[in-house]
Amino acid sequence: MGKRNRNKVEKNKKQSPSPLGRGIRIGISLLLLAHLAVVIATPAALVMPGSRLARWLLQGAAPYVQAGNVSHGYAFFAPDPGPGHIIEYELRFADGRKEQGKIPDTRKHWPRLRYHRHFMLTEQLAALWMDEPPPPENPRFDSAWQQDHRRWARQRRDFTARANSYGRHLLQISGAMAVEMNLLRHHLLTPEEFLSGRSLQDRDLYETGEIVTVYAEEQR
Amino acid sequence: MNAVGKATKNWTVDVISEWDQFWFTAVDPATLATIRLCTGLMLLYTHVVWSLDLSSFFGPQGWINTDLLQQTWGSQGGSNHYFWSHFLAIDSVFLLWIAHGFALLIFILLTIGLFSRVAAVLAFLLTVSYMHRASGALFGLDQINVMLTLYLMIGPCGARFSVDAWWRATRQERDQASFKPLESISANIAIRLIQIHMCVIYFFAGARKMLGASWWDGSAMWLSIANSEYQTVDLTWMAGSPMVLALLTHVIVLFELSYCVLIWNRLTRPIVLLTAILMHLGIATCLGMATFGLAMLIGNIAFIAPHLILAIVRQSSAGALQPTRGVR
Repeated sequence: MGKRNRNKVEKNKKQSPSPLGRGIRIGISLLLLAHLAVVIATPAALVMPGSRLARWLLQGAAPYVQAGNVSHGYAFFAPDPGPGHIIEYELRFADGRKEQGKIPDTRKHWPRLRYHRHFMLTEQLAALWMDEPPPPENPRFDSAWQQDHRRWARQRRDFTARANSYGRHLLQISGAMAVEMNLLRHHLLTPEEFLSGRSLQDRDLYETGEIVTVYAEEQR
Repeated sequence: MNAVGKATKNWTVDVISEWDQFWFTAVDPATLATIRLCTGLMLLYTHVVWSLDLSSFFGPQGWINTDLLQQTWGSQGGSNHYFWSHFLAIDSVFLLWIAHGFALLIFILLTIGLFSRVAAVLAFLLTVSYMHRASGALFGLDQINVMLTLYLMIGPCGARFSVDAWWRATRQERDQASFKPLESISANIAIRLIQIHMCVIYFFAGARKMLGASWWDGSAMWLSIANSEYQTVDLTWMAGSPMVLALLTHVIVLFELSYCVLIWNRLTRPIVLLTAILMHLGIATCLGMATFGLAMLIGNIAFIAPHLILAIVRQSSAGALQPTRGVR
């Protein structure tokens, strides 16, 4: 131990004892350690492929973690900053009228926090968007493919449920008969492409992903 | 006892002493109270903005309807999940506004520091409930909001810069009572927890970036500023300076990974805090996430010593609400 640390420890020892008894300090210390284990285990479990130990810890602490929203993955712009996603939609009314809109919309969604809330709606829908895995040419990979396919099917179900929920909400607030939603992926330019004169808004950067149509009569 | 045994015993005693010193030293609640004031303002703003789309995010037929919400909770936490929200019991717009009005009142009470301890507990429960219901529209801001609110419950967050503190001082003056010192162990525990949680946040933010190729090859900064859905300030003129972009990318990762070490050293702490301020203000202004950037800076206040905060407050002569006696 260095001289400075030794002096610090000696100083601590000389200070008046804590008003908390030893038993209380031990009890609080154990609670703090348990809490901090959960705080660390949550992002450790969520980072891919995820720690088995952290996942095991989180299973045991599920009531605490879930009910208290105690910790998260903290993956800000990770693993890579990716393309943005927007939804362009067309509302179709009973009288034949049509209205277009998009989510998020900088002109409509103000202040910026409100815009960001809507942006997260499209980003989280896009996170469920996944292409169906093609069947393997070599039958040796069948079981791996089946696993991937089951995951895709689960994600597909979640994607459809979420897209339908968005669609039903648009129908409810507009009174339209149907809404067609187009989830667009806005690809990013490289610096070289940008310097060659291309614009971030070039239409060919927008890839149509999924077109989902929701009808009013489908509403429960 | 042999030399090794003696050394081990001394080491154990030292570790216990340091542990007690770290967690169980009474400190002035000025830092915690500052965090309460800032967090209260942030919660108030966050939830005032929710008011603009209250039914759309919290009504039964919102963007995420209640069926989908239950399904989402189920896929995140299994069939026996523990997610909850008081919004599931609300099915009329009128009641939704009553509940929202109550929440705004609680956030105002927390901000001004009136009935602070009760307000902190209610603010935490409300923040969690809003987060659970608005699943699908959340981002980093919400994660920091709930973290700060969680720890505000632990300490006397209204002991300074608050109506509670003003009341307490007035009462003590009127009753000619002696001033009790404000130092508190629970204020220290709350601050320590925020400090450690901030370290965990930065470390994992950095660690998860290490899984991305763009954070290694230095292109991540460009990818962030070239995303026009995020962009609020056009920085695409930096396309011609790839080395500057790469440097900024690497600095961000290095900062996030090393924060949990360098922030504890008194010599490197000011540099780390200055870097945090520059980075988060940059995110706030250029990537359209002012609230997230500010929330992270509020978390960083935990590393500012109470005596420094009190000195700043006294210097700016804006300390009408806090008593000056009882401060060491």
